[in-house]
Amino acid sequence: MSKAATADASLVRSAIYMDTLVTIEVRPPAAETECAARVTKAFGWFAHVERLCSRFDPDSELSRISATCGTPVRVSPMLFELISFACAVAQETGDTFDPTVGHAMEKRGFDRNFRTGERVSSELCSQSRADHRDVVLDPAVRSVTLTRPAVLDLGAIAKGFAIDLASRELEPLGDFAINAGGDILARGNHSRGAPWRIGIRNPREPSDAIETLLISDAAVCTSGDYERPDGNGGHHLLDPQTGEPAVGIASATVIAPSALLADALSTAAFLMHPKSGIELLECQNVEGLIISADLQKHETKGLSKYRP
Amino acid sequence: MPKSPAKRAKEAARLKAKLAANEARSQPETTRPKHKRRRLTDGLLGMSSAAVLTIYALGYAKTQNANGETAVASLPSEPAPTAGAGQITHPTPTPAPGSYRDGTYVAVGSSRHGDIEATVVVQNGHIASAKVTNCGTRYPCSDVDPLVDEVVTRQGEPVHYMSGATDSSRAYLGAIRQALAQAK
Repeated sequence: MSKAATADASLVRSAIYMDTLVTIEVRPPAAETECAARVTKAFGWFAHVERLCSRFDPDSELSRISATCGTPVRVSPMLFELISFACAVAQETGDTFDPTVGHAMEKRGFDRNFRTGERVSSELCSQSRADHRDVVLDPAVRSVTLTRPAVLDLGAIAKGFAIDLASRELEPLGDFAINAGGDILARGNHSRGAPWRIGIRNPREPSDAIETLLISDAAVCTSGDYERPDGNGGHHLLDPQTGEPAVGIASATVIAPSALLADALSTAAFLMHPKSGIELLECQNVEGLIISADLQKHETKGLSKYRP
Repeated sequence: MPKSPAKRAKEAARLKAKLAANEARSQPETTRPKHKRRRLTDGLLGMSSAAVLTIYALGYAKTQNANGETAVASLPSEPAPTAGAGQITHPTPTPAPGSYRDGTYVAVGSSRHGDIEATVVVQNGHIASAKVTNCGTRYPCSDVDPLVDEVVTRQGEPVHYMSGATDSSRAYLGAIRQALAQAK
């Protein structure tokens, strides 16, 4: 973790969680001791979510579920909430989004623990492909049962969830931003009456922002085809129906009140035709920008209210 | 002011009830639901807020390492994108038992977006800690003022953060690899 104490008095700290750089910026930190304590606790949420939800750690709670088929596994409240949410998104998106995509991801080389470099590999005893309907949740005893062998992957929502939890921790500090590898939540203003300026990465020009948005109390999450190449030129956003990287979209950005929601919907929108994606976002009352592979922009009706 | 645990729990319970109601509404689906189906409820938004409130109200165990340090168990074998020249700060002269020589090693990993400096501390031949100590010509990740260094623009004005830019961690791994190469 590193610290910054510049004249402008932003407290900025960074650490690595969930295979990405997480930065928290608080401005200006009024009571420094309280501020530092809250930032530390905020990072604690990232550690906590990572530990429970890692597909790459064979001992994580998530891996424990994936390894058990046909028997209910009692899980922590956090994992139960996250899996429930993932299944709700799967339902709501007509199966476009699916948390059982983990095995397909493993097979395409997204199988390495970023902390240890170790590979994970799951042998599924059945050839029939599971989907989210094979994840049976029992809220009464907080258990998850897989009715067909599957590897659960919460990569599309865990980061957003951690951002939201960290944000609750920082709430009393007023003006702050959390950036977890390009998934961002900004509260309040950056400086006197001026909201945070959040760029949306140009999918083909890494150093260029294709849009700039003024964000004051919202999360901005983007799923792009340009990250985490798997060695075959593919990216990490797999179509659950085919197990192959989705084609046609360069990036999908969602602006929503919650990072969990923005994270989930940006992944779902990425896996759809741009028109269907925009329809989904409008239906869910969030704003977004979808850039197709030929760099055509598709946006929700209300996006322009965030433009400078 | 932070809310009292009781108030938080109450708030969470209220949202839980709402969530249960939402779920009950969307349960009896015999055909595949399509996203095209128009909804007037704030289904997923309500559910995401409820999940966050519930878990936040429950809190997390204080026993974990929540100080932001990243313990690295072994050398990450992912190839680094590029690795800059690192310099040894103050390694001890005598090799210790274990894979690495004791010392503090600093190295820089480069990505298209900027450099990340990592510091790896080796004690008794094992990696005691690995931290980001400096990072980013473009990304305001640490010791840099975002407004001064963030020059990514659309219209000549700086952005504070860039959504969708995720590859900083590979630069970090590159830096760690480079630092550890010195410790061999």
